[in-house]
Amino acid sequence: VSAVIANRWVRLVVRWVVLVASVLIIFSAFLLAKGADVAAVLESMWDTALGTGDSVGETLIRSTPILLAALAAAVPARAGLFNLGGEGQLLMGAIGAFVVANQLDGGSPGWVTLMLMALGGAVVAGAWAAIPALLKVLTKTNEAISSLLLNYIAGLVVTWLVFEPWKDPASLGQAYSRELEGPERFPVIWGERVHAGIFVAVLAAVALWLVLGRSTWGFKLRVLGGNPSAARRAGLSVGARSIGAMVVGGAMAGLGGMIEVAGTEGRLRPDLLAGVGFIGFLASWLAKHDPLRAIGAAFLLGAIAVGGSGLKITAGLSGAAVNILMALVLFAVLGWGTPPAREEST
Amino acid sequence: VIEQVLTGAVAGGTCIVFAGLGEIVAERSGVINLGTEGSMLCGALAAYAVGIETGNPWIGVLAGLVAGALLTTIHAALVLHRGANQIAVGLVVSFFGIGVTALFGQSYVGQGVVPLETWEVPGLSSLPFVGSVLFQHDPLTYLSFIAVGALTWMIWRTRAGLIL
Repeated sequence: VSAVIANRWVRLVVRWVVLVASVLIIFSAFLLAKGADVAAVLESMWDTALGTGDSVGETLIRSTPILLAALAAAVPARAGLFNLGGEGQLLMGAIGAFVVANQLDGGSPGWVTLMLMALGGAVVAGAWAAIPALLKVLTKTNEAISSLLLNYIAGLVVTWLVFEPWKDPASLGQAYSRELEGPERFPVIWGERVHAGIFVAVLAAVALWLVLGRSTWGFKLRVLGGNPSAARRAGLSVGARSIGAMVVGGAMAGLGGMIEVAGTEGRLRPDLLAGVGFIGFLASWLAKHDPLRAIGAAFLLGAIAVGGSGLKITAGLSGAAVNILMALVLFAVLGWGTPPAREEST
Repeated sequence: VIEQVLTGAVAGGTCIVFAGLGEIVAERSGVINLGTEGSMLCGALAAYAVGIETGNPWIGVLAGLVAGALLTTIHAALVLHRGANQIAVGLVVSFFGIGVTALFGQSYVGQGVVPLETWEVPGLSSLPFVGSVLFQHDPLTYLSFIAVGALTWMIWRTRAGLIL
């Protein structure tokens, strides 16, 4: 028996070594085709993403909203729903946090302010995520498409806010809001930029892991995701649970948006968190919708994203070229991470 | 003004028509292809680069077609042969397209390409209003008109279309 287990482990290790090696080889081939110095580029990417204390800090900061966006996709995915609206829900969370901060106007002690801002972000983004869920339940609209399209609307709402009512009077023509300050900001805990918001993200992941894995609510979501008609026959109210899953997911993304403005950014900008919602969605798939694994997946994708600056600095390549590496990792894991499961290919 | 807006809409909508047609084919077979964005980006880059290198925009158009199809092949291969999720893979294809065009497109920024010539349909283009809105465009716009009709015919009238 132990030989069989050992054999399985060997195969697993071989599989992953081959996957990682192929990803690096193909990415290097792209760089070679462009005529770049592959070793120098890879080294520079490593240095900017993980090489020094500061770069690890930068990766942690970048991973935080990715993790919460991943949770936003993971909870609905458990119920068999596709939430592609992380992008817009992050923005709505940032807006909700700003609304609360503007209302309080610095009149409460720090932790109360932050908690209310987090609550505001979660509520606004949760309500935003309820739209595709309601459309799904009431009119059978495909929630993947409707949540995706709501991203554009959320982006336009932010753009309007920073061009008109919330525009910083001191911004000299630049479109952004005032800067959150004092009790409205997470304290910096390490280096110059790593803030306490990262703990909130990790805590949220652990809490969701417990809720999804141990509670009846989580169990029922899984039943629903596994077989909706069986769930209906078993007496579960499918509609209410679908909406619940999307709202909880949206609230997670909202928390992410709040953490970004109260932690790293401080301001609302039109291109705030651009792309993060989608990267988070993919992190959730990388983690097979497991909140704890999502921590690792978000860190990996965050590191790759930060590595993009390294591409720019050493090789003068476009930073967005790092998307090739991200895509290759995901192709590898989605396609070959597990033996193909034919019955799941819907 | 309305005339100009509509003319611009027909010219600008051409690329969306083609993307939409591509998605229709995929959706008909029950596939949501979120990689369309990536296919369009890579098609644009390939057409542009080949157009510049050869000086012939039509060879560029051909290259664009091939590039877009190649990218979608990745999607098809992973979803059909490896049982990967189509929505997730589609999104990754989009990211892949962004990355590839960012890497290889950078050196072409600012260069001009020989454009396709505007081709006025004889007779029809001199019609008032309708003429300038519909019949004074580049050939690809006319091709999009034809493609809509052809695809409709293919989906409803041919064996291949009905099997989708």
